[in-house]
Amino acid sequence: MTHAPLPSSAARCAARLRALRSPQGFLPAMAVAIGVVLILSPFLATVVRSLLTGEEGKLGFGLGNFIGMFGNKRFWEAAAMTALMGAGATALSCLFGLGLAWIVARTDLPGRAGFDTLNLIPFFLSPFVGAISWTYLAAPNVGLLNQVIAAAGGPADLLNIYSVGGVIWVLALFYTPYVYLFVISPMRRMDPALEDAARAHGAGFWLTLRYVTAPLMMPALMSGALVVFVTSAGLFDVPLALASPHGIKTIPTAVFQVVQYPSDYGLAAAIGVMVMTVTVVITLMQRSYLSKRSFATVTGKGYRPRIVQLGRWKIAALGLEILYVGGGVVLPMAALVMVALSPLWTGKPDPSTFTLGNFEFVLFSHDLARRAMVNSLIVASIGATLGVVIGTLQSYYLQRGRSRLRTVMDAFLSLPIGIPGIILGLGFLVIALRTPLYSTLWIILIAYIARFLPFSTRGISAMLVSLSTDLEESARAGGATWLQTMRMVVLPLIRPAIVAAWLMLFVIFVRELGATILLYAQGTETISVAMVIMGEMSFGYVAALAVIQALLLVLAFGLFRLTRSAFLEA
Amino acid sequence: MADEGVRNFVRVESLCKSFGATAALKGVSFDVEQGSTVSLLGPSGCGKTTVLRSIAGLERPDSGRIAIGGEPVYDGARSLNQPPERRQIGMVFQSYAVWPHMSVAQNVGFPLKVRKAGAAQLAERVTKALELVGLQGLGERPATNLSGGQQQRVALARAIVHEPRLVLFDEPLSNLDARLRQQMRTELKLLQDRLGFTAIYVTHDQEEALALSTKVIVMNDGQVEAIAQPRALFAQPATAFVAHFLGFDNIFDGTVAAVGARDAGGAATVRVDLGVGTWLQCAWRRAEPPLVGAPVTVAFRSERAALASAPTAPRPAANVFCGTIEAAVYLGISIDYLVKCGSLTLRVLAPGECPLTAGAAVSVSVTAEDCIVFPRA
Repeated sequence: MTHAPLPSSAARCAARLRALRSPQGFLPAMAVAIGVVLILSPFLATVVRSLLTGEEGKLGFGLGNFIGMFGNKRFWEAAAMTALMGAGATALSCLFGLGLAWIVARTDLPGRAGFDTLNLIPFFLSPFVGAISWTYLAAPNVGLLNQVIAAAGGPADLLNIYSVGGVIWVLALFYTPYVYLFVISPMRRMDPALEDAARAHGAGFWLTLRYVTAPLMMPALMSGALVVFVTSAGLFDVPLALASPHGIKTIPTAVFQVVQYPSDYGLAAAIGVMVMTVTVVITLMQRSYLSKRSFATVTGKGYRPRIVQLGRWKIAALGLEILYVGGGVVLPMAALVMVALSPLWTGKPDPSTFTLGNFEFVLFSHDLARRAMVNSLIVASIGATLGVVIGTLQSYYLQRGRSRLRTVMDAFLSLPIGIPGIILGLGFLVIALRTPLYSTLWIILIAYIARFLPFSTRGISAMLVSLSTDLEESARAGGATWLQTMRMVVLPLIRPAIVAAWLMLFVIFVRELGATILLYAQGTETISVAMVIMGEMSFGYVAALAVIQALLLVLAFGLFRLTRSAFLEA
Repeated sequence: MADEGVRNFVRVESLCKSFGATAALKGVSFDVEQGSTVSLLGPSGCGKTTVLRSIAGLERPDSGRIAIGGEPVYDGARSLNQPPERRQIGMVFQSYAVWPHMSVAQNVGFPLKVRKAGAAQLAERVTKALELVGLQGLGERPATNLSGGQQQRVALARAIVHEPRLVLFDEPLSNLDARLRQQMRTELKLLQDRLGFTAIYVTHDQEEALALSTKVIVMNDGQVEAIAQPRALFAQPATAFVAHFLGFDNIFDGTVAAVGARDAGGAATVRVDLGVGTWLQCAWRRAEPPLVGAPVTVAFRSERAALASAPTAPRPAANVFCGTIEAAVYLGISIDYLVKCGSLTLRVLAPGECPLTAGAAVSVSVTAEDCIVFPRA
């Protein structure tokens, strides 16, 4: 037994530095370094700013901001409201998501494949536009649905979208696809023998559901629920549209208000530090929960799940689908289009007066709207491209690298997923205020990438991890360099994931509002910002702009479905 | 130097590698002659694949040296580690690693393409390689549109198309079904004889190792256990581990009772007491004779043992066990018997028409030539 002495730490260091000189070592490490900087800089900026108290110009270190925040009753009210809305939206999304996923994956409801697509459309639409559309539908007295109710003899203020319930409803509609996506794949890929075994050993349908199916779904459901809670509670746009008008404050809208003139950046930063801490704690708790239960339900084998014959329950299943697709897609889109086509929205659609005037105005005449569209397209396309390049290299580092930091980095780089956009925007605002980046498109672009890069990295990682390393190694053994192997083997094979990640980022960037709202300036407005600004002018212009944005998003969604199905067939 | 490059075309010296706290390789050394095929044989986890991947440059060992064709490609002391693409090798993977986004011809032509071969030369050599592996005319097929056996051939063609100086095989046949495996084994042997490439072949299948190689290296727990030519390895395994791995299924501990004189072939007859009233005469082929009373291990194959009905216990004799049949498993061509003999359980493979059944009193005999004896620590 001739055991060689372990290389000394100096030798290890030297070897690591040498490895960084090759493109294989350098490029992925560089991408990870960029990711770390993008996370740490707004975080540190927020922390530092939260500790600075006093007037601008003569700031001193102190805990005054935190003392002020904790002593403020309004802060606690906003925090409670945020938690309530997040919890309500999560509960409702889980109900919708579980139900719809089960219907599509495990029942014989006709048209399931079509519903699978329809259920995902809200994922791509903008919750902000959804909230605006729902004000057309369910504003007290004037909303279209309330008018229908009144015509049927009910009270005309039965539905009030400007309420906590309204916010929860709209959030749930738009966050249901998250739960749906999380639970449908284990539902589809679960080994049916696990359920059959329960049935064979004497458990009926409900007992099997309770003791076998539900526990097996739990990790996926919990993951989905946590993502929904963290992201919906941190969302800025829906409370802005539905809660702010009636003075209901949430943490994101409170931060927005605090930053408005006369700005109190210190207090805003203190709130930001709080939110980041809570989010990171929740995210880490989720990770430890999941690491304790990894069931082997998903074996990768192509199981065909048992299909439940619905019989008379078909009506109920169909009803749930219609409620969801109607509330999430059909009704808001129809209302939006009607408002956009009406020269003056009076609360009653009148097809005889429909005109394209609003579209003409925002597309050709209104400077702000035109500028916003150009800005959004520029930021979305450049941002998505940078996002997939960095994301691909990061996932290579995470899946193929040999660094010991991999697992730590995997957790660290995912952190922004839970951080509310407006909080991250605040961090970048604090940085930008002191640099030439202030009021440029660049700072918006940087904030977008920082916030949403994990989507790209995770999506591409998921495909890379299923790609056998043999395929790369055989290229290296066959004489290809690392760069050649990436170009000729790895990238072509993970192209579906790269395309999907690009479209995903494009969609998110086109509709983003939370991070933008604090960073835009005259000249760097985006479509969503323009909708906020024009909301004070005319319903029709906002609706027209929203329709144009929705068309962009639906186009991206269509392309996404195409690439995904092409990938599934391959 | 040139001659050195031929005799020790591949030279692996005291290779060590650990994964975390587990030592995968604990100083592995061997040489491969040019034009020969060497098998690395051993149970899973013995480190054979790590050795192969280190030779390919896909794994970086912790220390040691590797040279191909007289040229060092890895040297732990000098921190030298050539990337795989500069080692001029071909490699066949267990999973075939056929690229699903390329056609058969694109897969096979890849090594030429990255070496910037001209289009005409590339096409010609791809065609030739496809012919060699029996896939002529399938070049334009998508690579995923092939059966397992055909994908195996694509992987093989890709590994030899650029006429590499060394071809590495990582359990290439283990994913094929038994019949296809035999067929591919024969074809591989023919191809190798025809093209004369140097090959290193990793397998856990002893038949494959014996059939394909000029030299077999048996590995165990990160170390080389034995290096021998197939016939010698099969007939005279060097250690009890090798014997066990190569199908010696009757292995018993005993002590040396007597040592006889050496015969003309240099083998001494050794009498081993197994402690159950039975003793075995075995041929001792090692240079230094054993001491009386020394602990040893004896081994023989179940196919080489003879079974006979013995209703009345025969007179105790050398190399004869008496006992009763505990179980008989019918395998068609043969019957697999477990025979209980005192505290020992023997395995005997008898012809399929043997009428003996469980409970029968029998005797088992084995010749001295078929018994191998090893010193036991």
